[in-house]
Amino acid sequence: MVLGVDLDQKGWCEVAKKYFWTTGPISSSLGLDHITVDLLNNTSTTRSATIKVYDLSDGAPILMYTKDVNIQAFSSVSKRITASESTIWEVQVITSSRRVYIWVGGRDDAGMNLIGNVVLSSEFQLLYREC
Amino acid sequence: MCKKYNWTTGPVRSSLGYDSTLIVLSNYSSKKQKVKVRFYDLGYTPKKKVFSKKLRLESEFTKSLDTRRPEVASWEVQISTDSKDVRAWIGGRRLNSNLPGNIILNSELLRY
Repeated sequence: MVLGVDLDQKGWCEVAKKYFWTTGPISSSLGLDHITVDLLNNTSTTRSATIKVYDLSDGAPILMYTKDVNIQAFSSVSKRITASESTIWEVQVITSSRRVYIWVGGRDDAGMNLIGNVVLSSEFQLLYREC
Repeated sequence: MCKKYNWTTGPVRSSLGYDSTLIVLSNYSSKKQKVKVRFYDLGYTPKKKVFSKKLRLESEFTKSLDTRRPEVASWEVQISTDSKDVRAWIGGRRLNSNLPGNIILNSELLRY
C-alpha cells in the first residue's frame, strides 16, 4: 500500500486514475487527408480524455493537435484532425478508465480508411498508468 | 460456477462504401453453446442498440450474421458467451468485400 493505493507485484496500481495509450509511429499511406479519433465510453459515468496528435515527420515529435474531451456514459465522441502534411504521425490518448475504448484511422478525403493507417482498440499500446 | 465471457470490438468507424457488418461465430467446444450478439450504432448519445440476437451454436459449428445497416458510420459489436471456446470474426464490408480498418480478428477482441 503506497499513499492509499494498492500496488500489484510490479508496483503498478490496480485501479489507475489515468491510462496513457499510444498508437506508436504510423507512416501515412498515399492520399491521407485526415486522422479520425473515436473514443467510446462503456461505463455508466461521464469520462474525460485527452487526445494528442504528434507529427513525427522531422524526427522530433511536434504536437500538432491536443484536445480535452468529456464522453457521456455509454456514448462516443469523434474528432477529425487534418493531417495531409504529415508523413509520419502518432496519436496518444489519456483516458480515465480502462473501459474507454479507442479507434484511430488515417483516411482519405472521401472517408476511406487507409491500409496500415488504422489502429483498433486492442492494438493500442499502454505507455503507463498513473495512480 | 458459470463464467461469462464478454467481448467488444471497441469503436469502429466505417470505411467508404460500408453497407454491413458480418459476424462469424465458431464453437470449438464439444458442447452446444449459447451466444448473444449485440450491434450498436455509435452515432447516438447514448449509443443505440440496433441489433441483438441470441444464438445456439452446435458443437464444432459455425454461423454467420449480417447486420445490413448501410447508414451506420460508427459501430461496436459485443459478444457474450459462457465458453472461451467460442471464437469470432467481425468485418465491416461493402458488397462482400472486407474494408480496411473494419476487420476485427478473434485475437483483436477485447474482453470486459
